[in-house]
Amino acid sequence: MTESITILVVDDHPIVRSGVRQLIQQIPDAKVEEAETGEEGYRLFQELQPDMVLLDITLPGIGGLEVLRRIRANRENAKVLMFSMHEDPVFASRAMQAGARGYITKNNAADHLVEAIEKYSTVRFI
Amino acid sequence: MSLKFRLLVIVTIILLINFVAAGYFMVHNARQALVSEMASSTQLAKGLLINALPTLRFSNDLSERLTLIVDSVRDTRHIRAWFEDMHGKPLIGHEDYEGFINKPDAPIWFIKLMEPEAVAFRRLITKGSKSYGYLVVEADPSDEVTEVWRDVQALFWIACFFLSLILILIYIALRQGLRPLQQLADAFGKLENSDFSARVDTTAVRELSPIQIRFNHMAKMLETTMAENHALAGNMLTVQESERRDLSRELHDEVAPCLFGIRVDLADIKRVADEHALTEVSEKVESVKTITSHIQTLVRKMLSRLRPMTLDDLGLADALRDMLHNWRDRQPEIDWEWSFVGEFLDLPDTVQVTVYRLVQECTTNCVRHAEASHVKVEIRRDHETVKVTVTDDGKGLDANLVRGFGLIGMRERVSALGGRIAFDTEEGRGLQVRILIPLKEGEK
Repeated sequence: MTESITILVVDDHPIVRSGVRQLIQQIPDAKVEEAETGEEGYRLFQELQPDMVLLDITLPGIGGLEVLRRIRANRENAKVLMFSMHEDPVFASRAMQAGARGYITKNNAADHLVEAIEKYSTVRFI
Repeated sequence: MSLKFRLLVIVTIILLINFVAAGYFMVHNARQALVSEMASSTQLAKGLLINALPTLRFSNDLSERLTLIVDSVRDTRHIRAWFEDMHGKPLIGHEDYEGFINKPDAPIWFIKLMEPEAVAFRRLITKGSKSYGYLVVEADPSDEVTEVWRDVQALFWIACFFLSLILILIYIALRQGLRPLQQLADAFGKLENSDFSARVDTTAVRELSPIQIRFNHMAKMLETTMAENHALAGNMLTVQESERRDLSRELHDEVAPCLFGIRVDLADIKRVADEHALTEVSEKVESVKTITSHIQTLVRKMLSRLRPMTLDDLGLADALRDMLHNWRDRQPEIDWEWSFVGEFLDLPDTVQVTVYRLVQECTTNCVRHAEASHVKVEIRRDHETVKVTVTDDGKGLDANLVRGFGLIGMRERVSALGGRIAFDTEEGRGLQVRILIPLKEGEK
């Protein structure tokens, strides 16, 4: 039996958050928490200690990459999946350098997000 | 030939003609005077001689008497007198003359010019039937010629002195008078180099002051117009960038999330349709998904055209590094080098976007037109300015072509921020674009 997992979604667009929530519903026992800004996202991460963070790069206030750095500084093995509309490889490479587990573009998210979440959180599902 | 030189030559010629004419009249008059003086001296001597000759008859010592006569006549000015034998050999009265014939203290050409003809009076001295020789009285012009020569010399030196003095005075006057023209030329040069603060002094020469006043007026008008132009261009740039930013924000914040939402819903619909084996619905969903995906790609392209996507999330330095890394990947045969010095994060948005676009334009030119093998991008930010230098070793740019290649747009962008752009190029020896953008108060 699988345990329930908590996924924190940090994105400033309600439509995106609701879309992500809709997609994650396909994962059994997955619980979604939402944050609108980088600051709120980091606060909720500390508070909830989620199993995975889905983090947008472009955020109002402190940007996604900075939130990623803070999360990694707080918990070194935190599983963070970057989630952005940028297709420029430099963003993916920056995200990976900063310690992200993966990078998925919003264009592909509808088809591949669940797959990515399952792939990068396999440790928990085994 | 310069106006100064031309005027000096003309004045010199006129003065020389003057002096030569004065010299000619002086010599001519002196010659006339000489001729009449010599005639009168000879006449006088002749009179003296004729008066003295009868005393010879009563003299026992002819030689002593002749000596007395010769001496008495010789005291007369400009007169030479001697006694010679029948063969023309001087016997009495030639001892005091050096070489017997007196020579004027003047050059031969001058003596010839004066043409002093010796006016001589000869008298055969006889006693009884015996002839002893000739008593000769001759006018001697040498002193006169010497005097005239001295006068001519004095005239020459005075002429030289005045000629030099006049030429110096004319030169000084011309230099002073032409200085405003030089100032005008310098001021035009400044205008040519876009320095519209150039003005000239309007007080120096009255005749030139209308031109100077009009020049200053024109320069002022240009300065005002250019300042207005810059302000306008600056405003346009700011407005353009701000509109682009707003547009890109709307695309990014509104359109893109909606498209994402549609894609999620489509995925849901497709899943449900597949579960219920609704093939037709599933196919339609797939078609809408393709269209949505196409719109997403379009939005992304529009976004990157409107605003460098990397600039907001990575900052200027990293965005430029990313751009150059991309170039290095796409053009590995070119040796790409870069150095960024100073803090860029706090630069105003317009400056960051401008620097990014300028580097983009320059590097694109390097790749498209320069056939360079080495490209170097340097950006240095200090307290007052941001300096961007892009150097390549390509085929260089014809100075006439500097207007092309989007470089005119770069110039507009730079001048809109009150900056300067310079292109150093020589055919076959590469191109260096140097840009300087000043930071206003509050931007430092």
